[in-house]
Amino acid sequence: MSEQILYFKPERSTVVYKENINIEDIGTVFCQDPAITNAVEKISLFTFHKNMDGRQVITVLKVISLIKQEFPDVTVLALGDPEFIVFHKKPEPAPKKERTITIIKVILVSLVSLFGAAFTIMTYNNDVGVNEVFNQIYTLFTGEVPKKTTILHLGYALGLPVGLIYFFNHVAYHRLSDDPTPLETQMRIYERDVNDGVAISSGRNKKTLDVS
Amino acid sequence: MLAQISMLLIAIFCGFGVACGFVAFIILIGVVPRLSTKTHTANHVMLYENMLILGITLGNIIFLYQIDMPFGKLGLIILGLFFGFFVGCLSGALAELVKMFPILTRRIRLRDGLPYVIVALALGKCLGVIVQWFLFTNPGP
Repeated sequence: MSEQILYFKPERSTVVYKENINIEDIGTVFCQDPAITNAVEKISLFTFHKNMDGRQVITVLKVISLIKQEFPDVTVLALGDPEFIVFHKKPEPAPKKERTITIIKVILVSLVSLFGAAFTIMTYNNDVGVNEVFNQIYTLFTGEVPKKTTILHLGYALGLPVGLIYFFNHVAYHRLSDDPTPLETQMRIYERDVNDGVAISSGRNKKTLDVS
Repeated sequence: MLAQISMLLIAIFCGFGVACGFVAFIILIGVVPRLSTKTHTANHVMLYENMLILGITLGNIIFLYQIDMPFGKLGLIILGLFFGFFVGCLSGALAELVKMFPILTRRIRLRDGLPYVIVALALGKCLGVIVQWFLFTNPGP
């Protein structure tokens, strides 16, 4: 029989809730021989301290060396990033308390977003002198000097939410198209930056689980 | 009448444009993504977006029509807290966006003590606000 090729693809970052992690917890394995696939998936990779949050950066080389120990004849083809991160979270404590804290956090971030955005648009309008420009435009069109708010203010107040909804791509929770919202894409970029940062600093501090 | 209608249309497009630019700035600067990641509430980003939409729209209307907000002193203190929090995040994120810290630390070869620099930065901003509001006597132009 020809030599078996085993494909291994780690997730860039995974969150686990148990102490002992196997290869199947952090990525996917494929081999033509299902017996090898199943055995490789069960290879133990790392053990976290119990009841402690932690993270570990592991290189693909380490995984390959562990697989080679068990199956010297198998060729391992790793796909994806050369290193990956495993975050360990202790098993959820009292879920009810956790839930209350989460709700409070969500409310606080919501309020910061709500009032912060309201404040910044006011400072923006003030800074760029929206009122002055509106008055100038009004005089240009009608020849009169406006004494109170004009039709321009109404249009601006209407156009702004339309632009916001268009930009954010959803009305309340109803999506206007399949695209992810701008915050969702920005979240992924931020997550990637964090993962890169963790992997690089772990490597520099010699904390990465590698073959040598 | 024609002037009124054309002004209405112009203003709607103005609002549209300002909204896109404004939101692009807030999103790019990454305050809300960071807040939601730090609080582990990333699954609620849509709620936060709705809050941004609501906040910008209402803030704009309040500014344009000078609507009275009878919150009282206590309400103002709480509101001010949220304003300050958001602006603090914004200015911190802006400093980070222009890669101020990485460049500074490389130039002066600063490796340790970065947390102190950040605390100093926050205290400096706080001090600046106090000086500007309570010690400046010239009201400016």
